Amino acid sequence: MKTALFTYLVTVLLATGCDSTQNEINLPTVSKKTNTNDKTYAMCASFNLKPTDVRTYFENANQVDKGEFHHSAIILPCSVYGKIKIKGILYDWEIYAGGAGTLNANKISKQFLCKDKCCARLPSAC
Amino acid sequence: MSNINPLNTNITFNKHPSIDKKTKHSPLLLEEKSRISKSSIESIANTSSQLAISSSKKGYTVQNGLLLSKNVTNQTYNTIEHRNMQPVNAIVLHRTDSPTAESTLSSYHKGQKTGAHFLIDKKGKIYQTASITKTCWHVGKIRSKCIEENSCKQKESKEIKTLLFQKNLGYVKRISNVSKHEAAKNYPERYPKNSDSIGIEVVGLYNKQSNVFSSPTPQQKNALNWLVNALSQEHGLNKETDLFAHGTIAYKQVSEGKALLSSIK
Repeated sequence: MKTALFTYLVTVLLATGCDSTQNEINLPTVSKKTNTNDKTYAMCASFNLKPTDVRTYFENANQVDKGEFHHSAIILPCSVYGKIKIKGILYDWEIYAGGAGTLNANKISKQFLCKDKCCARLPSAC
Repeated sequence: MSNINPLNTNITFNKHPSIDKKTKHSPLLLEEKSRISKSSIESIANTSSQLAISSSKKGYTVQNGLLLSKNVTNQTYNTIEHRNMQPVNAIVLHRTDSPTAESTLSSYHKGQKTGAHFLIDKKGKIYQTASITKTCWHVGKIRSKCIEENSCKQKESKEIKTLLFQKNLGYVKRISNVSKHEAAKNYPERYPKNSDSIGIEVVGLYNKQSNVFSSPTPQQKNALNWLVNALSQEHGLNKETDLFAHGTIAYKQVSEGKALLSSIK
């Protein structure tokens, strides 16, 4: 009986743990913007991400410091943006065609680059 | 001008390799030195003193890639110095998107490989962070100059558009292909690249709401003007045509460097 109860508790804990991990990043709102003043905007005009893609992005992109982002990020004239709740914090997010992304909430500012793992899971961002 | 270490840490003030090479490690140089006659030494001394006088009128001298002046604090980091520089064709103006110079210097100190040759803080203090005989990775992928300036010949325009819209390739790959295509051209047919340009970073934050960087302070504008004049004079550059905002030539925030460019007199 004790063994069965222990097994049950472990199963519940594991299941709860998995659920909470999945729910750490809520599905975001998604809007799109394009800077049509940029002469090359047409190359990325079709860029778009679904809410599930945005969650995949923030689960797999590499968080980098501001210096690396500033020097390495490719900023194309097309991006998607919106709001997303991660671990209880509501952020403004933006992802540019090419894979550079940001999260901002009050004084929190995080920068991301979509590298190998992220690009493999979300080729449309890279 | 203060020479206080802004990080209060043990920053390595790297000697430029060529200084070591010439002063310590070159047996040939020592041998040559022993062969130099007294009159030759006097003649060299006179020439050097004349050079020093004419350079001091300019307010700086350049020695082994270092801009020596009371206006410049030399604090180079070999982590951001790469291949030898080709003849300098242009200067590229950058913003740091950081609140202070310390955060940028700290990143260099920690081993960041990207960076620029100079850094100007909010008070107008100029740091030389890399030798101007060395390439710094400060430009990134370059845009097509003739596309941006509507000056492409029809065939060239078609070639670049083919690269930009190539099917089954990601955005980064297509941008890289355009950049490589441009890099094969001679300056000034293309925008400057890492190997032929000096980079100047000016401290300032990016405002996401307004899409612009903080306005450069009057001290930053003065320091930038002095530095651009000195470097233009040194490398025979034309400030009207050989000075670029980073946001114009590369895939970066469009406003990067534009306010700096318009502050150059």
